[in-house]
Amino acid sequence: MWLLVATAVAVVGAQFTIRMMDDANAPPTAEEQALTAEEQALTAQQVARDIVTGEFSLIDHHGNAVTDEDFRGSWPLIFFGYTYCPDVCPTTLGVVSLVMDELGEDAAKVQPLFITVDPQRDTPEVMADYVAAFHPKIIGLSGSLEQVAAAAQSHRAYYVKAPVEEGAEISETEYAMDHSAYLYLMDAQGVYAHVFSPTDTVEEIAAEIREFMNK
Amino acid sequence: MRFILSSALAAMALAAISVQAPAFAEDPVSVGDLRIMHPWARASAGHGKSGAAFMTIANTGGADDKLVAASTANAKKTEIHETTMEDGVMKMRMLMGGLTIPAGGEVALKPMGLHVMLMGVTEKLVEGETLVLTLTFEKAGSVEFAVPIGGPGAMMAPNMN
Repeated sequence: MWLLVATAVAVVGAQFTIRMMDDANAPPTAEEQALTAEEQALTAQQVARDIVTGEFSLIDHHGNAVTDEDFRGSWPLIFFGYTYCPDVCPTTLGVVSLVMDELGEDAAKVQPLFITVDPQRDTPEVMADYVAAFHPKIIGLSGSLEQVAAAAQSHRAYYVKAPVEEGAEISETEYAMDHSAYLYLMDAQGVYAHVFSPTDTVEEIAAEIREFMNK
Repeated sequence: MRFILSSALAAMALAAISVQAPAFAEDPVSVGDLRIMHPWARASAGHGKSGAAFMTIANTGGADDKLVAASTANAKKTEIHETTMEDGVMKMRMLMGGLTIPAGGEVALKPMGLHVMLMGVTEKLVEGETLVLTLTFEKAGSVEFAVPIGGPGAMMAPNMN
């Protein structure tokens, strides 16, 4: 069983990075090579479900304490980022907004969540102003450094504070956040369903979300 | 050469500037052999301390040129940044040493790639308005032009939608 998990983790590794898994670099085994592509995909999905638990305890942009359990019944579409991010985060939130439009009536079942990886600057108030610029349904989530770290860990998302200029010192107020740029889809029971890349198109993402919701 | 434009450099650049306000947003802005096409910026979301401007720069000449600095009165610092994705992790860094615009070629500054980064935006960027940006090239010199502002999550110039 352990071998199967290690194997599957290697398979999942191709789909998205699991930086915090010790076994992510396990060498391919004979057993892995014996699995068919379909079996590998199924196993990868199962392992992703097991390791991307999606648990969090954060503060929403209205200042309320919320956990992942508060979103049962809807399909959370989760993205990690920060409000000082000029490119990838606005791009992704723009894509999420268009996906919601594209989904039409089905959008009622989807709950976009934007979790900051920079809670020092992104307070709930800052998050409220930021997400409102994109789509009324997006909920911004912040919290303590520990709460954010735990939320990232449960999604196997990676982030680190970095200087804008390579090799420079990180100043108190001026820095970038390197971060995982995946869009996670969780199902109505809070179980991992899929990850999208920010380079996937609005149409692709909307079609896949629909497919998952209709399964 | 550092990419941050000091105030002294900015003053020098302004003195030698050729200001252009194209009659139509679709008209390219010209400076020497360079043509700046479809410039656009994103509206501020929330505090809007960070901003980004995008465009395509074509070089119709026979020699490479280099974008060495950018500035605007509407931000404390203006730099050329590159976004890279590695194993699904997004990184954004200042582009060191300038951005080469190859002879006879063009370079696109676009989302998830290159952008003119505005840090410490002083006045929020509002959709439908314009931002005045100055770019300085090694050979072609400086040019100031108006940049139309699109939505906060826009993916292309507002006039191209």
